[in-house]
Amino acid sequence: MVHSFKQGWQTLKSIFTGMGITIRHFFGPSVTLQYPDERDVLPKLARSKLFVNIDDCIGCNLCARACPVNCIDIETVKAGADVDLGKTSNGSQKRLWISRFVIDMAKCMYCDLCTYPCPTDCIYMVQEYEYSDFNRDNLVYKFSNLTPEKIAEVKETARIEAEEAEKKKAEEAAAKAARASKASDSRPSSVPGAARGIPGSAKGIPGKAKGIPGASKGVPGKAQGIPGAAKSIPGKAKGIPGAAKGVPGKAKSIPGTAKGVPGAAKSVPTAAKGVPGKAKGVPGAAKGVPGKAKSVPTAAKNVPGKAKSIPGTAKGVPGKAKSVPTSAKSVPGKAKSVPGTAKSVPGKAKGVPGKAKGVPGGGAAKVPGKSTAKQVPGKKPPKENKDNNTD
Amino acid sequence: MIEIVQKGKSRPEMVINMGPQHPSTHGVLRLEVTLDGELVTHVRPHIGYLHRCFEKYGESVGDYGMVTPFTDRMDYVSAMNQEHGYVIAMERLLDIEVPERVEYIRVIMAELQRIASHLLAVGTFGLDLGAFTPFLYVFTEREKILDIFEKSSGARLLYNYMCIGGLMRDVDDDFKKDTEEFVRTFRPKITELQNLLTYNSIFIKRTAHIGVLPPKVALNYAASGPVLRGSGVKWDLRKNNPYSIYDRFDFDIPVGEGEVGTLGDCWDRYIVRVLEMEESCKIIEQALEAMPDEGDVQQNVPKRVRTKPGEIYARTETPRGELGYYIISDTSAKPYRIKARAPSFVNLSLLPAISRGSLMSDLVAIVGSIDIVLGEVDR
Amino acid sequence: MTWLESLPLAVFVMIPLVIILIYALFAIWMERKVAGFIQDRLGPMRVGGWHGWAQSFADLLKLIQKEDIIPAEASKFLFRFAPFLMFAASYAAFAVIPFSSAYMGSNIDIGVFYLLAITSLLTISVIMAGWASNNKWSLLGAMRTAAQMVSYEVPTIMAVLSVIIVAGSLNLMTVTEMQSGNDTLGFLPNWLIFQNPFLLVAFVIFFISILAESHRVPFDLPESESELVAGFQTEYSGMRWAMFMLAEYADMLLLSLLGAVLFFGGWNSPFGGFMDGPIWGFFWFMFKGMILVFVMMWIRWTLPRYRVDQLMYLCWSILIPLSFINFVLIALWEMLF
Repeated sequence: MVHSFKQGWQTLKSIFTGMGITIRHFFGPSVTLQYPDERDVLPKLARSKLFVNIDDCIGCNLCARACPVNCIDIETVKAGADVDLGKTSNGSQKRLWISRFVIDMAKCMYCDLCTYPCPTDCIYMVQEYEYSDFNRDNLVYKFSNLTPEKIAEVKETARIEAEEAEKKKAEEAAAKAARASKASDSRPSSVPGAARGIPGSAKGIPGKAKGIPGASKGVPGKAQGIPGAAKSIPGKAKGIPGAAKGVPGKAKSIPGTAKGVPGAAKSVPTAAKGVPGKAKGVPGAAKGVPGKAKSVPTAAKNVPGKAKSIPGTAKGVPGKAKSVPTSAKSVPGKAKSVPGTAKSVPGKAKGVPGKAKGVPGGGAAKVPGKSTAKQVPGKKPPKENKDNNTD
Repeated sequence: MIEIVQKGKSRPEMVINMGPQHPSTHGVLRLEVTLDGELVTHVRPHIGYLHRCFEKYGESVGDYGMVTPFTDRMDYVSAMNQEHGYVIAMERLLDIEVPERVEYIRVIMAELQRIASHLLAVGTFGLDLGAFTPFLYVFTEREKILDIFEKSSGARLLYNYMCIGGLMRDVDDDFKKDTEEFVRTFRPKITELQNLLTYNSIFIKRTAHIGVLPPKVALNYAASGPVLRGSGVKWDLRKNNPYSIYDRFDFDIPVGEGEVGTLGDCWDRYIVRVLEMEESCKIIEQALEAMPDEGDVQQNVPKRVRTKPGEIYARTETPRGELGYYIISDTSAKPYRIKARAPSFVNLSLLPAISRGSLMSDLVAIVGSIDIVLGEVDR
Repeated sequence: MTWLESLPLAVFVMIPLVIILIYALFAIWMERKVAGFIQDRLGPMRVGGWHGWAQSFADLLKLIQKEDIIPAEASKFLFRFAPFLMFAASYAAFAVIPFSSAYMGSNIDIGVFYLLAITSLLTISVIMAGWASNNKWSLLGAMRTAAQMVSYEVPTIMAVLSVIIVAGSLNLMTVTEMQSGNDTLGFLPNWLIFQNPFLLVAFVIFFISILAESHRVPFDLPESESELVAGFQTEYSGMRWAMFMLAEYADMLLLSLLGAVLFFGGWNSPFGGFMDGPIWGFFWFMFKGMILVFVMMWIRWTLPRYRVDQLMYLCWSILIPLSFINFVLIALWEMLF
């Protein structure tokens, strides 16, 4: 009895203690802010939104690489030797046009990792936190201060420059190749080997092929088609060796290479950009057939979609011409027209027998991408292309 | 109309889904509860609604440094402690000596975070039992801690403040002053909380003798943190296996004593958290005293993390218990494997064992007293 | 009787409804402000200017616009009917409340009896809502409510009966009138709570019971949101849910006003003849009622809630025996003095 009274008293006491505390708070001040009317001042280091001072950016891409969620997207174009882009505030020379600097704040997780590696401290967090939006696209912030026209212009300049450099190197390379072919004699047996090797390499190429379209002037549709083409090549590759044997240097072999050389597939998109200099991709073709340039345009006509881009390349880098039809085949819609072009190529190929011999240098076959590069050192792609590819 | 499960000749039972959208499952936990009237005959927790592939991310994201922000996101209410565990593991793997000042700052941050996390646990526990107001009182205090964090790290919840070998940036100039001020004003608030909630008789009625976890069962289930200490087992890695510089401080490990009920009941688990906050205050005061004023916190941060093939397991005491990181490295820039031993996950496995035979309302109290964070359970 | 002749009667009957509606809008706003102040916040501040006074109107407009959802497997008629029954029961009980010396809906001699009987309908409407929703949470909530309300009616009635012994009438108007003027000591109002020491205990029992009757913390088990989501209201939304809220707040007011009549002198001024009269009487009556409502809110934002078995224990093992003992003691006191 006493116990239960004591317990009852305890209960009431604890309840009244609690009520005493709450009534003190009832008359105490409020700790909240009336948000839209009053705003808290965020500390200087608060991380609320990413900002890029584009004037200081040198386009080094370090922030994009540091981002764990890949929300930063940077594209740069090499500035010409005679253009001075100025210096950043801490004195580094800028050498690249920043044609795209995009941050997707919807992806950003505000970890601040991107700001540490920046050599010029141009990317940092600011204290602006009121940027909610109904449309996700509005959370993609574009920081590049170049106009589209300007971007097109600098790209064109870069292309031409690269093209010239390429041409120079191509000539050198051709000379070298010619020398090499003479030295090695035309060895038919070596060709099949190359042919076989190619299919295998073909598999590896699709990956690269994807990257290239991005670089192309904006014909993404083709980009996807190309990897497919690469895959299709192996089958045809088999046929080629035979051809190669028969006409070592000449016409027949050329179409064959086109089909069989994944490298060619690569080259097509590159060509699409209209920058002949990029011919690197097309080892087989490039090496052997400077003279084949003529044939390519024809092919181009036949391949509707790709037609536009190809002629441009065709002019500059005959070697690439061959490759185009191949890719065309793989692209269903375009496929029909392509075979025709393919055929047409050999005919034109005749013009370049001498160089055909050089092709066997099947070096290409072993490691298509690399081998081409070796054989045509001059054709090394301009840096910005590489960046594009990684996009 | 309502489906009643008839099990053989026994009394009719009702299966009810508590969660994933339920006010007191602390996130997206789903409990499949079998009820006999209001008596719980069986509970099955279903997890995975918040699974975000932490471990896979750790293996695939750029490098070791990029994993840190993801550890924050495991237990998002004690992010500093999660980072602390990870950087300690990595430093042991790489044999990095951390500057004195960094160690002190890390310990202060970790203890502040422990207070913040316990405040949240205590507040939401009250909320589960229907006491709304203490929840907001403790949140006021938690906000002050977050303000301190924000000044130094720039963020309020997911800090990414510690990095392998040091800190991302030095603390704010006011850090020492702010922290001292906080500790000073925080002590009376604990007393207020004790009066308002802890010794409230209704609160005691709701928590004493409820969800009793005997020490033996706790050990067998590998429970850790306040859940284990609530059962009277004196086990705290800060004392039993000191990491960082915890061996330099003088503090106690509060354990449950069955003061108002049975040893290991919900109230004991609750009071351990409240008392731990006071112990953390002690540690913070000592650390502030001893902290060197100058020093480069980035001094020993490796420019690039280069690992040799190897493996490491490092464990730390987070507010929820023993957090372990098991990391296998190879020569590449990314970890070959990261495994996190999440205390919440282990503690949650106790739920069916200690909630059988209790009432529906007790189940809510038990879930609250285990203090799970679903981000950590599911990772 | 034509409709024109019955118009004054209709207006007469509508007066409590108007009071309830205005009160409900005010009380919901007040609840939020009280919660805010107790929790170091400010509560609603934006709608209508000064301290967000129009917040309840905004809420009402929102609720009216909401889609009327009836669960597919629900018992449709009962589901629709329950909220209105609940409100009707609360509203009907106001008939015997003496709002002022000049106004009382129905001056009947068994007022208290009628009031306690008609509020029992609330239990039925809650069970109806819980069952008709075809939801397990609703059903659990309804079962709890039924048990709770039926149980707590006993101590409520015993506490009320204690007052009736002292007052000697079941008519609430009579009970109020006999509390006018000052008591024998001369400085306290002649209210029943000051007339008999055991009536103080009766008031405590009465207050605890009305907390349980109107589902307020610490007895808000029917809709304890951290356990049962929203109890019997889980499946309700829009205006039907608003009817439940209205009925709940009306119930709170009804029981508070009953407490004011039985223990605090109803519409009598606390200052004897000063500030007296029908209009002031109404003011004082509502003021006393609102004080009790405020205390209920204050308790709500302080305490955790009981568990269902503890609630029952409190009722049957503590309050009911206590109220019986108290009843006997009051009767003895009345015989002696």
